[in-house]
Amino acid sequence: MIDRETILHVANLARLELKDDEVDKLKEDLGNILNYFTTLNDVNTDDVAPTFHPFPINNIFREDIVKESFSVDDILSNAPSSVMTYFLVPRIVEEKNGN
Amino acid sequence: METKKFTIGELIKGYKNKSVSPREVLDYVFNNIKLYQPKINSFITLMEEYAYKSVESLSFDEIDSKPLWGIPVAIKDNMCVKGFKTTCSSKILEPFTPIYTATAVQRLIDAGAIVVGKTNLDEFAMGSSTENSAFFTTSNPWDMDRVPGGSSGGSASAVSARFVPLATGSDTGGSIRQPASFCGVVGFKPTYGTVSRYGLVAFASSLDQIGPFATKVKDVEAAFSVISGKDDMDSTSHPYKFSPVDKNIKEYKIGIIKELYETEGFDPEVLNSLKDVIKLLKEEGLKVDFCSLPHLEYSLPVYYLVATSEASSNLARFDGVRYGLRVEGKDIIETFLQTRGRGFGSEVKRRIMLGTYALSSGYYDAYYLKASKVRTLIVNDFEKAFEDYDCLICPTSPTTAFKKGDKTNDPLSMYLSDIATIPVNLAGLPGISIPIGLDKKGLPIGLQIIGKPFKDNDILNFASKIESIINFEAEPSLLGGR
Repeated sequence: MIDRETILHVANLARLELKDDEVDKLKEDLGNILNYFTTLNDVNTDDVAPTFHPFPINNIFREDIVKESFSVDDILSNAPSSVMTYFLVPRIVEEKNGN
Repeated sequence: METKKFTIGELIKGYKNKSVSPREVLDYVFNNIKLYQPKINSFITLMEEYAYKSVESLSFDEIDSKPLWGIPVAIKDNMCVKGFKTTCSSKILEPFTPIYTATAVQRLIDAGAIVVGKTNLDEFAMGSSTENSAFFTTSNPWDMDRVPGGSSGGSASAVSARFVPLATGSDTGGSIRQPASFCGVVGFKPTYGTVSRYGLVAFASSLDQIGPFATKVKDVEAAFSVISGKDDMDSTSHPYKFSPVDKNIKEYKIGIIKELYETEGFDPEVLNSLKDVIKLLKEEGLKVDFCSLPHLEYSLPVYYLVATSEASSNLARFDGVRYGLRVEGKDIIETFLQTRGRGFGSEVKRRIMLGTYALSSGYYDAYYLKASKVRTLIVNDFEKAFEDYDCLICPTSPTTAFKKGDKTNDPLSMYLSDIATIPVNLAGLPGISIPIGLDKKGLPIGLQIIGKPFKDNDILNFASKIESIINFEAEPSLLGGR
């Protein structure tokens, strides 16, 4: 129903590092669950609109007024790593010669 | 203190006539927690010092204006309380201390409630037994070898063990009602949107709802009166106006959901208990009939596709950059992979994988879109049923509390435990579970009452009336020693 490559592809999309035994278990579990879900194909949904939200809601704009918010110190208080007013993360951009 | 007096109404009566003080009640609360918490494990964090400080700041002049004056409350550990860890029972959030308080919690505090601790749950509220907590498993106070249900098992067990008269839960597919049923207490999931979710860690945004646990319907109603209503911090919140209903029970037309009555997998003892209730209702002169929700059988696949899809998106924020665990890799991508790979437990990974798959290119139409269309048919079934009935009833869960470890290796059988509660979230309806009896093993059985959208006060009134007819007074045997 679902192969190892697909599991690894989806895990990469979800940014989840999986151990080998986890891949095997997920292959089995997701296979079973998706197989059970095929029952939905028995339902005719031609001309049925999807429901993404239980009740119709629209975007609500608030007045554009300045309000007090959190301080930078508060926001950074949970950061695993920070410097000055920034969250610090490992290098994202490759280093070029001369930079 | 007698456990029967450990309700909001009785406590406030005691406070008013000065036969007991909030401080003495806190002594009672923390004493019981010290004695029984090691066995039951309801709490992840206790807030003893904070609670005693809060009691100091209560002014007796405000007892009439604050409906929860001096009432101890436990908070599910996926709701933020400023300055106290909010873990979601996950390693990935273990180091997280919120810098603000959830609106629902703040409203309880503003109404005079005293927060005493944060309760255990299935990691990120994903589960039906509280066994998916990354820290420890919670026991059912009625039988320590059994699960309290989930995901709000910590809160349900805390009320059941009479640690607290009131606790909060969140309900995405039954996470308030199913544990309430397993623990023999009342659990209420209000209509979607009536309680602000600001400060609740999101699981599935089109389904999540906050609600209260207590031992009596009047007590969950008191909590709901405080936490419901519009909040500017949650754009999905609804301007619900709490207004008590006092209608004669004879005025209600009741539908028994056929698909959750004559179904395989439902314990005969649970169904017999429901039959007893139906008999009582008929004796009271109510109109009770069978109704049909033909698409109900598809609720489980629809729910698991919708909920996991939304969860895979909501949980993308846990990346080790701004808060929580970080497992540093050689670059940012490896940091994401390792942080999430080690921070999330197996059920959360399973659901993120399922949701990511259902939303991924090439599968979206076949899974997520298809499920969202079948969801419409389920919503329509309810609408049609409510043309003829005011409330629908069914068992809250097909069985009573199961043993620890019984379902941990079979995700599908665990999911089936929520078969009766899940459809209610898909349609955003209010639902309440009340205890109606015990099975032969002495475990509580719950009745679910489902109402029309935004008719929360209507079903609370019905639930309260039926509660007084059934008169369920049993308590876990461990309370006999108090």
